[in-house]
Amino acid sequence: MIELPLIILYLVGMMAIGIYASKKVRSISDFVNAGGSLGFWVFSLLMVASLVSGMTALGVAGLGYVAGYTTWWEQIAVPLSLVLSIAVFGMKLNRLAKENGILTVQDYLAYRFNDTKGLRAISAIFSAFVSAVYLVGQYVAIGIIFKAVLGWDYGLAIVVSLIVTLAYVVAGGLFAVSWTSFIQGLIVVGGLTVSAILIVSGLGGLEKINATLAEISEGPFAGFLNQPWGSWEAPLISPMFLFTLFGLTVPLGLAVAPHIINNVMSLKKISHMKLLPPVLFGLGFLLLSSAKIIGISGRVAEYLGIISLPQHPVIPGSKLTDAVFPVLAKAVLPYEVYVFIVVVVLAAVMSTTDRLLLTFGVNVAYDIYHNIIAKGNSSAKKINLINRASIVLIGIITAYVALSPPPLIAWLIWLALGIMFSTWFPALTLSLYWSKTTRNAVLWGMIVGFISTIIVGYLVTEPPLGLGVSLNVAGAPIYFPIIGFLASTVTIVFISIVENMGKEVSLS
Amino acid sequence: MNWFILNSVGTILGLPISTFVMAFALPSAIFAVLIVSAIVSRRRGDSRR
Repeated sequence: MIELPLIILYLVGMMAIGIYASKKVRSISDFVNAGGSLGFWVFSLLMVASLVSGMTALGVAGLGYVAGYTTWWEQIAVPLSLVLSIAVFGMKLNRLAKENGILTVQDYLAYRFNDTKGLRAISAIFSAFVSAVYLVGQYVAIGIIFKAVLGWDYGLAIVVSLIVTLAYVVAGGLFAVSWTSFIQGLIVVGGLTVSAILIVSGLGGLEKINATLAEISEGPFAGFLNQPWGSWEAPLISPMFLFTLFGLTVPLGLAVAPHIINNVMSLKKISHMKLLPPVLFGLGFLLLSSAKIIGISGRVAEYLGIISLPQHPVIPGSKLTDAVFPVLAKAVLPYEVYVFIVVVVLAAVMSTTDRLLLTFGVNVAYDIYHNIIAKGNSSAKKINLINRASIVLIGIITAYVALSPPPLIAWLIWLALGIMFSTWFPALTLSLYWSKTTRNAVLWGMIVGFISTIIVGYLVTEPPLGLGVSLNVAGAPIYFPIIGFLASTVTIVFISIVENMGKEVSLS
Repeated sequence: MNWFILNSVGTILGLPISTFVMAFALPSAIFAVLIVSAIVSRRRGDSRR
């Protein structure tokens, strides 16, 4: 039993970083975006670690187990979201941050449209909502995995990860989050890559795994597991579904996810932005491909009778596919290597959880309290106090909800990516690149995107546990958030054109 | 089931050619394009200075 000392060592290390980072925090900017002082590699790992959560690392392997190579597009789409976040938004937002003291996306919207209340409030509330929902998902993921694989008590796993994450986020803000993310990112990238190499070689090599995969004729998506996509009408793996999910929703939605895009203001040198896309894509692809290869290997290992996945604790009659990584690691890897998997999973979970907590705190304390309620006249001390209090509060609330998650929460977690895609992507892209975009257009575009995604999601998926595959176009299933995205885009363009026409008429 | 004529050629790493292209060749090509554009963009920045 060397898991426990290893876990304690890891947790103490993270808390020590948080305490050290707290000495660097002197201003609001220090807490919110590390004073815009992050170097190239710390920033790179922060971006990757913010993106790759426990849900992602375990879920990617789980999807590989379920659908094989058909969902390999995910490994291209997710890293591309980081490239887009930098190339489309990062360059401009970082420059604006340096020139105008912008700290958050909400700051940018307020600055761009000279609106200190409505737009900032709507964006901050939506951001806080999505972050809180995602937080519940993270805690549920860690609880389920640690219970299924390590035999930990579900609640204990959640409480331990909550306490440690809260401790260093509250102490050191983004300084602590970025430094811990640097370590966590290295652990996750290194851990998954080494695990994938050892697992693949343990099962006889990639060629043998792929050849065996082609033989599998039972279970979900059998017959398509070694193909780039499934048939036109197949749920989840049809070309249209893969395009609307991995071609649009994932890369564009994650590019503007509040816990990712707000990082771009923290990079010290704007010239580093030019070198970031290949580094972020390379790291992301390496990490996610490792996870997916592990999942695919898991399907083969189960076919060969090497492993058997546990039953899902929530969905009767289903296997806990997200447990494939730890279960396979336990079966194939030497014990001394396997115990590190626990730390890899913990690092993956915490690296996103901490960023989500901070994003929520900043939304409440800086965007809503400081800029709207106090009209920019509160002290740094008071903002930091509210920031930390709201982080502790939302941490406790979301962990409490995760202890006994209502079915609707599972549906909302699943919906969150679609909300990001339809709420922020049209608003931010058009406001940055189309000078005629108006304040009202963006405000209503965001509201329409947010509400329509929830309504369409509700209608097509029949919550709480819908699969999001019942929306068909020309007989092909499509991923539904595209509807909210189009509605939001059309709303922004239409209102902007109408308001600009009104201005031209009044001028003439 | 073969999706492309290329698949009739055989397999690479035990995968149909179309899957191999999607899984390894396409990401490698994207990575190469990103590296080249980063170098070009950096050189442009240097020459402006």
